[in-house]
Amino acid sequence: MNVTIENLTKVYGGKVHALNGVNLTIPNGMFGLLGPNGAGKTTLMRILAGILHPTSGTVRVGGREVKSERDRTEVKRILGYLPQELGMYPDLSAREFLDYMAILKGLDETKARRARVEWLLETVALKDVANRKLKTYSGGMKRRVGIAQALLNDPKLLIVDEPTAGLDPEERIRFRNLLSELAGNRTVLLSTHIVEDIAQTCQQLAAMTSGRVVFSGTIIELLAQTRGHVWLVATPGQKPEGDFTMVAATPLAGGGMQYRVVGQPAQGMQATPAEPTLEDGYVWLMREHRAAPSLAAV
Amino acid sequence: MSRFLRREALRYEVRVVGPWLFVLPLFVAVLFAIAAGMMAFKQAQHSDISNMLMAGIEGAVPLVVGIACAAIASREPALELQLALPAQYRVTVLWRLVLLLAWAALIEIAGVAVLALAFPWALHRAGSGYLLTWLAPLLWCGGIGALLALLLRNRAAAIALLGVAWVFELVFHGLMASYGWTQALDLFATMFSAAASFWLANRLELIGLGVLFLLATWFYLRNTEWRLRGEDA
Amino acid sequence: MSSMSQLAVVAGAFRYEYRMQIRRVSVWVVLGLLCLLIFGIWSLGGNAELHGYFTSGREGIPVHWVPPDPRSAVLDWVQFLGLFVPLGIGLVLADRLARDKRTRVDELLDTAEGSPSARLTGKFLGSTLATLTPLLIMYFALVAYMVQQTGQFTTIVPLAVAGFAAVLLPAALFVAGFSVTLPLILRVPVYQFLFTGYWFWANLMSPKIGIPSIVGTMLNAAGPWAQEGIFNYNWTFLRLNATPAQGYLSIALLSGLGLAAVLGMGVYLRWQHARR
Repeated sequence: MNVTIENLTKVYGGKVHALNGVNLTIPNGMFGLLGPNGAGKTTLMRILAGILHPTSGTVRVGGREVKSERDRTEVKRILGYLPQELGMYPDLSAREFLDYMAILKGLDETKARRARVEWLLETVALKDVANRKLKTYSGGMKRRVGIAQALLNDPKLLIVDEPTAGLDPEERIRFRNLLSELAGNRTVLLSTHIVEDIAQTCQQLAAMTSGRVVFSGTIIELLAQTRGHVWLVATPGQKPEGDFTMVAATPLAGGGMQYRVVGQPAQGMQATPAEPTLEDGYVWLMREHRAAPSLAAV
Repeated sequence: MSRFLRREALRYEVRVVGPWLFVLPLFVAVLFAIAAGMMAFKQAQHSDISNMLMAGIEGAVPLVVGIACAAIASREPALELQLALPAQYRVTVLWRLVLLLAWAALIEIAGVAVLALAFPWALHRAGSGYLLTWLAPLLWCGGIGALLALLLRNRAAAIALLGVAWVFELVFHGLMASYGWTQALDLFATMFSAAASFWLANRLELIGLGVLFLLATWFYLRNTEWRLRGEDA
Repeated sequence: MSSMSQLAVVAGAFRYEYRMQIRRVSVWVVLGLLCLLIFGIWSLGGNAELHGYFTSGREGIPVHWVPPDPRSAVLDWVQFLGLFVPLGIGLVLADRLARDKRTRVDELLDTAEGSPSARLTGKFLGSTLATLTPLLIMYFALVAYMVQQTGQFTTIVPLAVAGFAAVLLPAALFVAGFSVTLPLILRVPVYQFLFTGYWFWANLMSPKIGIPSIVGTMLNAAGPWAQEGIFNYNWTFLRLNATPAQGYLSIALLSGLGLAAVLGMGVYLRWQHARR
């Protein structure tokens, strides 16, 4: 299912421009959305989820333009949404919470609904603790409940906003794998500022800053754009000079330092070109489109 | 809407809102009944016992319902999830308010029925007055509590305004009964002006205002941007 | 921890709490509406006292001119504010600490240096003063109007300052002490309901109603003892025959109880931390 966004803008209170004419096509499969905090990712997600109304522009989901409240409700029927700040009802157990959410998602048939809840509890490996109150869950467990609720209605469109923030490395890997498995037959939009999450799961991505999409394409295309701008600079110890962003600094075995930089080192520095990573590509994009002052989401 | 009527859905809504919010009106009604019982035990005058019971029926239960409605309208731990559901969030909130109001109405009906059967002297009005005595302030307090909590984006501030208005009316009940426009807002017309000519009009006006406040709450709940900003710091 | 650094904790919590509370729009809205309501009540009689008026001539008393009495106009203003403003302040302040708990700021603060009592005292003073700020502005706006109308600066302003200090400030400290602390052990809406009922029962319920109450005791926080004892002014429905000493005692008692509630909760929190 394709999601097409054209000239989307969102202005809060007539002053704060959170989105400035966003154009984007999100195809089937995993799609990554990268950007610094305040880039407008959450606002875009909320508009796609039907929570916020855009100031102008159009959104098409599966070819159908989302204009009215009825359109938004139709999208919500095929949507799974995991927000960045996942609030839950602390006194419900995971099983009860999922059952309640399933009722609100329109899964009216009791037997089928309960079976779905049990299957999802198993999928996210929470079956053993499903009767514990949510307030006793760790951050990672809550995230897993969050993804389970997003999958209750077997959504065609899954939107997950910063899903791995605050998770330990093992939880993050498990979560990324789960998302990749889910992307087989649906569109999964993964928003994050953790580059590694995108690198491990997505072929396609877009990058945003200051409410604009500054790149949209494949990871390979982004790496190609960055190639020639990534350097390794070795110095006896002092920081290298030039117009660049430092990505890493590593002490060398025989003394001195090696710096990985994105940009242009000053002439005369001992710089050798390096093969870019996705992180370098992201840094290059952000350098090219210097972020305007932060435009925080609501 | 039918999904809300299912037994498990009702159970979840009560648990999500907080069962203690539903216990509160019952607790208050029982508290006033005990206080009246103690007064009767001490052989207080019938008029004083009646005042105590009326204070519960017409005053305290509606106030606590207003406070609970403010809590329901303003607090939603899973707001963003609710807003992304096909079930409209404002329908969910309205349903929660209706549940609470209906529960409070049941408590009031039970209380008034006991009094009407056992201690008819305790009630200031008979007939349809049984109903209007508590329904009018209940709807007014419930409606304004919910609306203020949404408008101010702050439950404590909403309850502060409701509480001050309630005490103000109690203290200046004479003033409230003196002017045409204040008569329409008199929450305690049965306690202090049961025989007044404006009583029925006052009850109907309060009910009308209460419904109006609930309607405004319903329309205001559409403003998701306002809701997402949350309570002010 | 030295008393000097405890003082620094109180000051830090005070500054933070004052800034947080003063910028809440809802505080200004509530206090603004409250003052407007009370101004409406005051204007029914207080304005006439300020300018002088002719009596109605009812009840067989011949019509006569009552000369301006700015003193009564000021004390009327203090009295009406004393009936309702502490209630509003108490209700608005009820969510301050509960909010810290909900947003988990309390966990952050627990890791900081300083005793819970010191932090609580700072929060209590900061939030109370911040909530009093809009009131002070509106209070003295009417006082300025009275001065402008009568030109009697030396009569009105010192009396207004004394009235604020003797009636409104102790009442605010009293209610704030309980409103800041009790919601830590009670749910906020439950506390707010109980406090509203308490305020009417303990301060405003006329003895004529026939229900026992503490309205005639020194725990009445609406200001009858100070009004009568210090300003020799007849309070609305009570005649206490209060002496100046009783007036001062009521100020000390109310302020002290407010502070005692805060310190008591500090001790409780320390005990709770020790048990963790």
